[in-house]
Amino acid sequence: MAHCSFFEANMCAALACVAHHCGGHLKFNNVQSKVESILCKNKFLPRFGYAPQSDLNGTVIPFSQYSRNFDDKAYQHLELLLQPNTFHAVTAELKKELYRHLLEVYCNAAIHSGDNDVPVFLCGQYYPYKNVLIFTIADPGIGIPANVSDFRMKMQGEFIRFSNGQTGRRIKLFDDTESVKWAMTGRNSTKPDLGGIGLKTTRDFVVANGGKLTIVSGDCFVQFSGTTEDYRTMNGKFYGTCVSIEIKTNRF
Amino acid sequence: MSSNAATAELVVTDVLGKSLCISASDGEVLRDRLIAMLDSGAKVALSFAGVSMIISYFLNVAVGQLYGKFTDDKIANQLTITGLDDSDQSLLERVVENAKNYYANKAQHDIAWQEVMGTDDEAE
Repeated sequence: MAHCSFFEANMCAALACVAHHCGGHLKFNNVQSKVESILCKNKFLPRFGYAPQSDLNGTVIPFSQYSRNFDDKAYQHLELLLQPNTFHAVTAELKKELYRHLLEVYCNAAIHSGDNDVPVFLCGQYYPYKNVLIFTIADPGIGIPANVSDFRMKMQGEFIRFSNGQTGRRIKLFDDTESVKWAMTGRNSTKPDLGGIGLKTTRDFVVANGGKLTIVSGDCFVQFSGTTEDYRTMNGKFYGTCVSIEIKTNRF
Repeated sequence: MSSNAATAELVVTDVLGKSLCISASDGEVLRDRLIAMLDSGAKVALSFAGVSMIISYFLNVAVGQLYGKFTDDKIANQLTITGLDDSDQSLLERVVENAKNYYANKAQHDIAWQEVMGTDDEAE
């Protein structure tokens, strides 16, 4: 990491997904001192042998790892993670809504990651001089595109009989961006029963607050801010799902 | 739960023994109680007083799935929900709207799900 002069602390959740896919063989070398300080304060690099550092400013939301079926414990852990310094100026209503949507994103990750053993990572950072609080929740699971594309192909595929006599579906392929758009409509779900409004309600909350919601999965990047939906196709793929919630702490 | 001749009150914190409405499994507990009461013809006043956190995954199961079991009219006539603040109420309304849309198109959704999960043979 010799050429990395800044690393957003919350993105440790995404970096942890990369480490997960490396099967524990990832090592960090030549970490610049400023970056090392950030990632040691939030307890990420200590997982890789670095010495932990104290967060004297109370602005760190430590790196955490959750498993599935952690619902109530996740809520209780959130209350421990968020230090009084972070929330002294935040209204009770905003705090409640933030917790709600962090849990919505966590549950979404836990349900859709595709494997019981896939962890969910959370990390955040408070920027008091900007009145901004950022959380990132990421999982190294199969990702939104794989979930949605499989489901949509089956939904919209047309049964045909091939020349060899076998039957199957004529499938229209969907790219990662189409899949994420589908998931964000608020009425679609790949679950076997009701669902599908969690991410949509989270988007509405964040946008109403004046913040940003960023989702990366597969090669799709999308950021919701105000009335803008900025969809981009990345050069590479993120194997999993990464959701970042950025809120203004001085607004509801 | 207390009751009078007209309406039985069901307090969520009493049913679950806690103030968190997060997990689907807790939603199932509440849903099953509601189904039994609505099935019996009782009018139910469901109180969320004292609940500190509700998310959609819980509400989808606890309340949304009622719309797959009962008609909208039966639910409207027999179930009232109280104790929600404005943001919780807004979430509930979205869950109910989503449930109505889902159950209106359930057959199509379920077929697609079974195919994804490989639980049918895709035979014509």
